[in-house]
Amino acid sequence: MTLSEDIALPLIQVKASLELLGSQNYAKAAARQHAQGSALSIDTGLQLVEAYKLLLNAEHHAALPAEPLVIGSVLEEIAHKLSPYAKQYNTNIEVSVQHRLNPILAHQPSLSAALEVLGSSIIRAQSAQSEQKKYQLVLGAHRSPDNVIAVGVFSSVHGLSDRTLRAARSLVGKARQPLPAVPAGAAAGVLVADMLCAAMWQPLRAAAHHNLPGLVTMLPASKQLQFV
Amino acid sequence: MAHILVLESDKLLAASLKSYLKAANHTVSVHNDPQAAVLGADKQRPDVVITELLLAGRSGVEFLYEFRSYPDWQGISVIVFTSMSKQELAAYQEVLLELNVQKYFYKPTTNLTQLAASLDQCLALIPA
Repeated sequence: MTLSEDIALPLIQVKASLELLGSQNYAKAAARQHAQGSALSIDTGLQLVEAYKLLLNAEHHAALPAEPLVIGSVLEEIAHKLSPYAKQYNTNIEVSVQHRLNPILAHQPSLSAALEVLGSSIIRAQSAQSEQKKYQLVLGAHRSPDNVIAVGVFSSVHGLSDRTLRAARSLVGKARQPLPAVPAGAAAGVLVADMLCAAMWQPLRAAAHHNLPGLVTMLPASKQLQFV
Repeated sequence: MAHILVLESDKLLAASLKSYLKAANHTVSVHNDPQAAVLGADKQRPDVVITELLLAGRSGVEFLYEFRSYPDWQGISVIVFTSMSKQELAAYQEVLLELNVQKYFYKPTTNLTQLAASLDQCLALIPA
């Protein structure tokens, strides 16, 4: 149900955009802008479907094959992918990785998909939650005290907490007004990311990065690369 | 020309709605936060309100309770444009009647043209 809600949103956006284009004599530039916006909405819907497919596949594996990854590069790539979408929601994406962080051990497709859907959900959620001119989204990674690496998405808008996760997890099988501070249309991303991360190693948890609240997954450091 | 207040949580959809209504010669103010919408209505009295019910924080129903609590705004037409289906809305039916909601539209099955036509009907009921 939640997933259908999140997939319906980009389709509704595209539908409204196309109707708008069909109804008026649009200047070429404005029409191009609407077409680009529609393409980004479609991408976001597809991204969620892909993440969900990965999740379904993960259920058939006892453990997902992990490989050593340089987290900075993974986060930069996700930031690059999310940037055009974020721009539509007046959101600036920043990558913040703790200095001299060890490579991590993770299933790359699952990690990227989880962070992408989590990021796009939070981009929509923070824009729906408050009326600001600019929003900030940080893709961050830092070493936690128990020597594992926390990787996640952090927001300048308050409201990302354990309560958010409890509410998202309570959605399984039912859904409505999902997160206390997040409107419908942004919850499935959190839920799918949470389940993908759980299939990989550990589910999402609330954390802070440079005083910004966020949701992270914990990943082990790659001993192999550390040694090299 | 009328002034329309739109309360919509998704920025992209709100922008399309705004452009469409502006092209129909209406002035439009768009909000995603119910509190900001109340302040906006206070600044410029809307002729019609178009609202989503699923919002962050307070729900659209809570917004309508507050909106209708002000005697000045009790006569303003309200159109609900939401992702909640009729079945899901059943629990709120009496509340929405009590809140004097004029029209209900389910987003996935509604065109902007239908919404605009309904808006025109609401505007036609406003005494000159």
